[in-house]
Amino acid sequence: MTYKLLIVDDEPHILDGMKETLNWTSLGFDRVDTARDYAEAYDKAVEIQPDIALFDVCIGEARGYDIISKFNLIGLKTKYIMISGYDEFEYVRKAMMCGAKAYLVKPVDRQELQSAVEKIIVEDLGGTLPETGDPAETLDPVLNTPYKSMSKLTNKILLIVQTDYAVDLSLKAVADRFKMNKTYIGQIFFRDTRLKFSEYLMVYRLLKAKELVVGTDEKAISIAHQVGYTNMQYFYTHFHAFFGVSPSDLRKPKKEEED
Amino acid sequence: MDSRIDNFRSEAQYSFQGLESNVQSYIGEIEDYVTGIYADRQLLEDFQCFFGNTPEEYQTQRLTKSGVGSELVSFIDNIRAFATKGNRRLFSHISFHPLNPEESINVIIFNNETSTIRHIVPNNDALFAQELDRSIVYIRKLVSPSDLSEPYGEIRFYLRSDWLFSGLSRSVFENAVITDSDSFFTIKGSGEQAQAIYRHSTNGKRNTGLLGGTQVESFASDFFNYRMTVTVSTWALLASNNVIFFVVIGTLLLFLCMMVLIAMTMRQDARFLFRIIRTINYAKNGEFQKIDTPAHKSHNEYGLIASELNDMCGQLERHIQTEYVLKLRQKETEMVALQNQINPHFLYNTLEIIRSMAVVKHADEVADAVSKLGRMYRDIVKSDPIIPLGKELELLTNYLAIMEFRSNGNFYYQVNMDQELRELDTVKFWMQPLAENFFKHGYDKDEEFNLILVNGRNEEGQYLIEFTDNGKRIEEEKLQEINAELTGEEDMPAGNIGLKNVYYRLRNFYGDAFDMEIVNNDESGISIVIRILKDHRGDKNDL
Repeated sequence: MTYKLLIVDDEPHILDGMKETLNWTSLGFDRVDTARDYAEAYDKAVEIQPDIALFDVCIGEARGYDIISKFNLIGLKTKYIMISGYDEFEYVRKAMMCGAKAYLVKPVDRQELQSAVEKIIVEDLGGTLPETGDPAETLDPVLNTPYKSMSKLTNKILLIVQTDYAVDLSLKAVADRFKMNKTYIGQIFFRDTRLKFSEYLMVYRLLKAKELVVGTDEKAISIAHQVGYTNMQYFYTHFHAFFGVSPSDLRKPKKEEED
Repeated sequence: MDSRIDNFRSEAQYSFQGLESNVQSYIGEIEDYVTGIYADRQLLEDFQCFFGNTPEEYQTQRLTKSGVGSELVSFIDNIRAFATKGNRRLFSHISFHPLNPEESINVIIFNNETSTIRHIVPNNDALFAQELDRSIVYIRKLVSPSDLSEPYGEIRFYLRSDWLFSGLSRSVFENAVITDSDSFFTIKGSGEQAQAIYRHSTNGKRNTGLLGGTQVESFASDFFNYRMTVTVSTWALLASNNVIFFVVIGTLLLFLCMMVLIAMTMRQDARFLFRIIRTINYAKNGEFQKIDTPAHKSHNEYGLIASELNDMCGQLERHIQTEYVLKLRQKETEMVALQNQINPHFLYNTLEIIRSMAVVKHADEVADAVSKLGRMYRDIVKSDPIIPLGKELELLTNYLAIMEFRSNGNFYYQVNMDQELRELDTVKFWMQPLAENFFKHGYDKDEEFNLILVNGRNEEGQYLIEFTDNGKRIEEEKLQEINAELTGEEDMPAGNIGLKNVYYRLRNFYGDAFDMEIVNNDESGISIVIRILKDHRGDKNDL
């Protein structure tokens, strides 16, 4: 299902910017037109019969809501989003009276615009939204969630783990680097990841160890050291508990294949 | 002494002249009245019917003379009206004596309210006695209406003595009597003295002299056969002129007056002093009152103090007006200017254009920062001063996001606020100043991690909000100083949206339930700890 969009504003920079503010194509728009005044807007509206139109409240001397009222009279089924530098009650009220679906203020918040457009697609146009999740988005190997969904601070902590997991790392060490109470850091980390820092670190180390077990011929003791385990007993116990198999058993079939 | 006697004499003469002129004016009135009877034909006819006739004869003649439809004029009514004019009780009675002794004598007697008529009174009736203690008689001879040269009879008007002479009873004289050859009327004084005076005053038009230590003045009337005699005792004259007596009395009075005056002055001064002290006390509380100085006070010491105090209060008030109120007004005006005069549409449209250009150039971070900046200004300018705490938190995160954009990637923030706290009402714009405080004092651009954590927890009995950073710590001594200044009762420092301002506004809003403290963290930096007690029955003032 494809949609048509009309953007009406008397400022050419804004028209250009609005075309780029959202990824209209991915939302399903195959045609995006712009108009700089009432006459042009009228012509374009009649010609392309847009599904959604973004209207500035003040287009020269004309008022967006007045134009919309006229469009309503000639039977256009377009859904409108008002965008204005003003947030005076009177403008908002008039916009709502003529049936505008949303009233956004300048400078436009990308997220708000996205939400407003998506809402119209789903509720008024009966469309569906594209699958979320950028295929290019990188996922955390332990949590299996995109890094983007977590706070910058958590990302920083994850980065520290990924860099320093091989050394004697702990929550205390991370908190020290932030010069911050380790309880606070622990809470922040837990809220974003739903894992304790120590649990995350352990899982990350074991995953790294597994990579090495599977991908190299290095001895277990060497791998344990490489991923930050000093105590071999712990390494074996944790590895077995997590994967249900010991490092050597994990490697055996490979060797058997080779054999 | 002589002058006192002269005064007395002239007083006596003045009184007598008053009396004489009174009598003269009454006689004049009577004369006018009688002449008036002759001038009115109808009245004269009715008078002739009345004069010398019995009531029966009078009525018969009246009926005969009156024509059909013509108004009957009544002489009796007429003379009654004259006699009692203005409610006066001048006449005791009036009698009508015809020339012919065969005819009837009629008498009209005036009592308090009414008057009665008596006919055929014998000529020797007690009514006709001429006794000065009751009345003085004025006899008016009449001439015949048909022939003016012929005598007709007479009307006797009996003027009451008490009415005529009552004016003298209020005089300064000790005794005052009216006498004629064989009777006397005492106006004032004792009967005994009046007797002596009566004997003394028998001859001469005007007598004057001493009578046993009494000064006497006597006058004979021009109109009637009577004398007026008045007396005053020589001692009274003497006393009224006693210089020593007056000096003693006068000195005593003067002394008394001075005592009273001094007492009053002292009392007034005490009151005035009390008012001065009261004004000072009011001024201590910031209420500047003026002492209204009475004009006569303004020259003594208290008056000086009061006027100086008034000046001082006036100047202090003016200073406060200019320094505080006017500057506050100025700030308000500036705010209004920010809200209205600087065209917000221009600002927001320009920001949108900048954002659009950034988007076109795929500078998404810039675009987002611009929209956050616009949002921040919008939220600050919006007028509602009381907002939910969640909204206030949005203001903060918006600001922190902008600061994150501005930093070299070394600024991190994390906000965690329990839902219950987000629904709490709060005053607008206090979190951002706390964060600004960090950028002013805690932020280090050379550090790898600059951190602000904002935690809000719904605990038992209280809400706890912590702003924790990892910047510089504050020396303990200095910290105590800051905390003391923060919670001190001093007024809000002007032009400073700092910690004190935040404390002041929140304290105002939440009252005693609110508490704010700055502590050093163990690791690094400081925490600003804010506690709001739940269900606190403190003096919460809504802004």
